[in-house]
Amino acid sequence: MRKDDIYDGVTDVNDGHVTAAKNGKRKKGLFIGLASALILAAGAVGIVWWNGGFGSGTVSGKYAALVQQEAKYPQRTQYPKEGVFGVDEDTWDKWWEETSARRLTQEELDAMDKPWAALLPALIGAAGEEDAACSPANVYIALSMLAETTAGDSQKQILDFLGTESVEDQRALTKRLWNALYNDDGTYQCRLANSLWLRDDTDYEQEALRTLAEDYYASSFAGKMGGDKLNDALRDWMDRQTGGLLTDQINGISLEPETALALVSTAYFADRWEAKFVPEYTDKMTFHGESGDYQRDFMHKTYTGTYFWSDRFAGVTLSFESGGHMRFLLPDEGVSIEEVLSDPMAVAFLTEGDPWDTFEDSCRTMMITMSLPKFDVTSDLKLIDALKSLGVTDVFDPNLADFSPVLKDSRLMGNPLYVSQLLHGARVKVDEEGCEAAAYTLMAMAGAAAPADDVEFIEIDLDRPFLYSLMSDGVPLFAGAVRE
Amino acid sequence: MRDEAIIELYFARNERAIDETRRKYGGYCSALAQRLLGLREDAEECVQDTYLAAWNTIPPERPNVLRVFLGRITRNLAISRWRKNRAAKRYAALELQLDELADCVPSEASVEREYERRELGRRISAWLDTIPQGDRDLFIRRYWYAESPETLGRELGLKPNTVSQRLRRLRLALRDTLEKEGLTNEEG
Repeated sequence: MRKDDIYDGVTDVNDGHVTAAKNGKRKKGLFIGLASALILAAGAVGIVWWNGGFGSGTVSGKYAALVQQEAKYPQRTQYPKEGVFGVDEDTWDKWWEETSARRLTQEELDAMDKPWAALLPALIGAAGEEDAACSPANVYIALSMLAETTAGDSQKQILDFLGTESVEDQRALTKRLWNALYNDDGTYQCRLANSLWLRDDTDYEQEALRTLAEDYYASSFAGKMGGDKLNDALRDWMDRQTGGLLTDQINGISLEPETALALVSTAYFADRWEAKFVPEYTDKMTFHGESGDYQRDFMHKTYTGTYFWSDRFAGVTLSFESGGHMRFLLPDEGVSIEEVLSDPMAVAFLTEGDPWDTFEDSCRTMMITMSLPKFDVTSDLKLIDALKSLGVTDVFDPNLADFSPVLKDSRLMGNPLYVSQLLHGARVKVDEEGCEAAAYTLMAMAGAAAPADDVEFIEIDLDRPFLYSLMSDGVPLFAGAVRE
Repeated sequence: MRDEAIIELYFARNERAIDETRRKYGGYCSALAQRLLGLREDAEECVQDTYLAAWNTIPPERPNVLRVFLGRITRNLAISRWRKNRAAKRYAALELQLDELADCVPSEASVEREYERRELGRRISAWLDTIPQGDRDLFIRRYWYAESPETLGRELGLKPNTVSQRLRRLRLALRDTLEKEGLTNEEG
């Protein structure tokens, strides 16, 4: 490679980048004060409950304080603000060093390809024939925590599914994943949180709790299990961690008195499109849903991007302002969501950090005219059956589950322990209202053009059921299906 | 005249298309060519060639953003001139830019695979996606629009030296990225 090759590469960068660069200043000014208006936000909660079967009612005990331990989050260097004297060089250096160090390596990404490929269809499948929203990364982290609290075959089945040899390997990988995804450096928000909800009348293995606190950044709370106070604290914690996006779902959650321990994992993400949809272009179009036709608000834009295809579907990506992007997969007419979900090519498109290699000759840079319905999809999923179908079975069986690493007694109130509930709730919202109105004025250049040597045009109307995934740091943070 | 109307003139094979392009984007193309090539005469020739190339490519192509379409042609023509005359070191500004971009070239030992031009553009775009907007804009303004660190410093309220240092960091970050990807892709 030579220096003029780099010049050519720069000549060919996305038009969005070229047009945005000359409008950056105006854009900044206009966006101040609109930071809270999000184009896209998503939240997810994964919960694992251990119940001691149907216990004989209340357990007595006084609770000194609910908070046992507050997770110590890694301190991130904030992206330096541009001031009159420019950016602080040392801060920038530190920021870049940290940012590149926490990015996942190709090897790490490869190690997670298999679990993503299995989780995504299973989670979307768990929503049945409804619209689906889920967070593969969130479930992955929750499962990794579950592995920490189990032993024997219970643990082995989870590790086999996650694709690692030992719980130590899994811990290290999950910690890397957590750190790659978690972001509060002032550029965009991706908040991850884990917590443990404990009884105060039960002995827990301190080492396991310490590992969860240190390597999984899990806070722990203890109180009267099933009591209002602990349940209120749980809901409050979950609501805060998911940015208020899942309040309705969270209000319906409470821990039963016979719960031995609960693990909660949350994820929250918010970012803006790199090139906004112009609100004035949004119009009503027909969405041909699985059970009928509906009038929906469709957003439109033309931009240069990579277009993927196979004999069963087409796929495009849309970039966010601060890194990360969303992928949309439209099955060909007559091909169902279920059929594509069992197609490895489609799953690779939705989950792989770098799908370009998988697609080789069936992807190319094109000028894409996209019509995308605004959507706001919420799912409440029960995942026990889904996980059983993936080979994780023992933890759900009172006679086989082994929680010895975390619980000193193998029984609670005389009942054997097992994972009695595994809930996963998520919401993904794609919207251009709010700051989009301002975006139109400043984004007259919205969309793009890319006259490469052999420009080709493609139209993609997502006006029938489609799949989507939200990729952050090469990992499917959120995913789902829009069917109706 | 609106871009759509100008493009329609090209499609109708009406030579007014070139006049309208010159009227609307002549200054922009000249400035870009001037910044890249430095020499007024060469820059003007480059701009004339840009119009001709636009005439020859629209149709079949239909630019979405005419401004970027034309700028890209100008950039391609400028680098062609440099390639023809590279031994003469005729274009100081472009030389300087290319010398800076040499920082981004992965070391041969680390990259075992050549990127195709199109793929390189995609990789650089993907990298730009991972850095914050301020850095992205700075990079594009320097290496796409060929604005000098002095101009950028003035507009952004930074010392030229600060701009240069920041650009250097960005170049090294891009090189790191290309090196890492070059390695992993070789296996796949």
